[in-house]
Amino acid sequence: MKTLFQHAKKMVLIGILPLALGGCVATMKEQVLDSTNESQLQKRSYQTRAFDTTDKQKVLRAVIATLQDLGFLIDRADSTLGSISATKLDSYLLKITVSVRPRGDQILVRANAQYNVTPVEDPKPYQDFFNSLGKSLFLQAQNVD
Amino acid sequence: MKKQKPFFSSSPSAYRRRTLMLIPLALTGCVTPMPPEAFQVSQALLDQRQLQSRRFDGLTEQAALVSSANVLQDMGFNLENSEVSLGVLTANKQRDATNAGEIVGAIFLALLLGVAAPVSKSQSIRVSLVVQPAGSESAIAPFYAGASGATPKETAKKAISAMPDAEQKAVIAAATKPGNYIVRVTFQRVVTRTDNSIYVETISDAEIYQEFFDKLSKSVFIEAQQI
Repeated sequence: MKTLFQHAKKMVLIGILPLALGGCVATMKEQVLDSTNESQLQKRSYQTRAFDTTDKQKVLRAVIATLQDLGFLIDRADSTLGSISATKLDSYLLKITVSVRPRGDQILVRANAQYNVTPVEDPKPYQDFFNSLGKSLFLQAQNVD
Repeated sequence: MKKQKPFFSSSPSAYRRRTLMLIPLALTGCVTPMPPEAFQVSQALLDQRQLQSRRFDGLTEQAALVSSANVLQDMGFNLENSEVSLGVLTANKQRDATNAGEIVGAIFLALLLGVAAPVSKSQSIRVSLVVQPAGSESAIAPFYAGASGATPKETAKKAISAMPDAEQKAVIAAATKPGNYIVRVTFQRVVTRTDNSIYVETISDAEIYQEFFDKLSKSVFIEAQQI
């Protein structure tokens, strides 16, 4: 026979469940557009760095080498578009797309990554990536405003 | 076999366990965080670079790519993507992943514990191959400079055509002169088990890379001799 206490226990569990799922439930619009609490500008600022060079080809080659050094497999590369996509498999799935475009006498490099099914929204991994890229280019990665 | 307890078990200990299990989930949402070292170069990754790279001297970048594409085809890969101006090739193949050792293990487990452990069923193997000039020895590289917007070939052509005749000849000779290149290859695989679960890995078996480069060396030689 079920006591009132047992019912109360069940209620507590049911109460926790939506809280537990709350972290990963988003509307389809949010999922498609990635329109989270971060502004587009915020995202761009930590995903982008500028390098003092006009040599797009050299930067593209350095991006490829850096990604390989970080354990990525190069999925595709397009020198006209200036984009490189790569995947890292290490019991997790990490995907990254890097785009390279000239701006004045600099080259802008932008990266966006996805860990399993979530976008990488922590600035630190991007910082790690740009530091490695800077080392292989012998150039300092500069913040872009 | 032990009977599975229902989620809302009436036993107090089970209730406590379930509730405790939900709390971290409630705090973190449903995602496991990315390992902080995912974008950092480690000693293991440096060793991997060693394993995945070989230097080839005295050939053109195009010859290195053609030989590599031929070797991948010899190994049954289907070419997926390529960008010659960046020295990139990507290929893949699907293969059976049944493994004798794994099946023996699963049978033992089944006999001892009475549970059927899932085993590898099929796999998708992917490879990327990149040819990069070794050091500063690329003959064409200086002419890629200032390639904003234009494709490197166009830029190089423009730069070359603007030169006096004697210089033009020297540059063309330099561009077609064989150089030294680093070929780096990476193999990854996605394995599907009999219960349709998957696991993913970057292949780190030294023998596989060794054998690939042996084949590539032979292919480069054959290509050079036009056999």
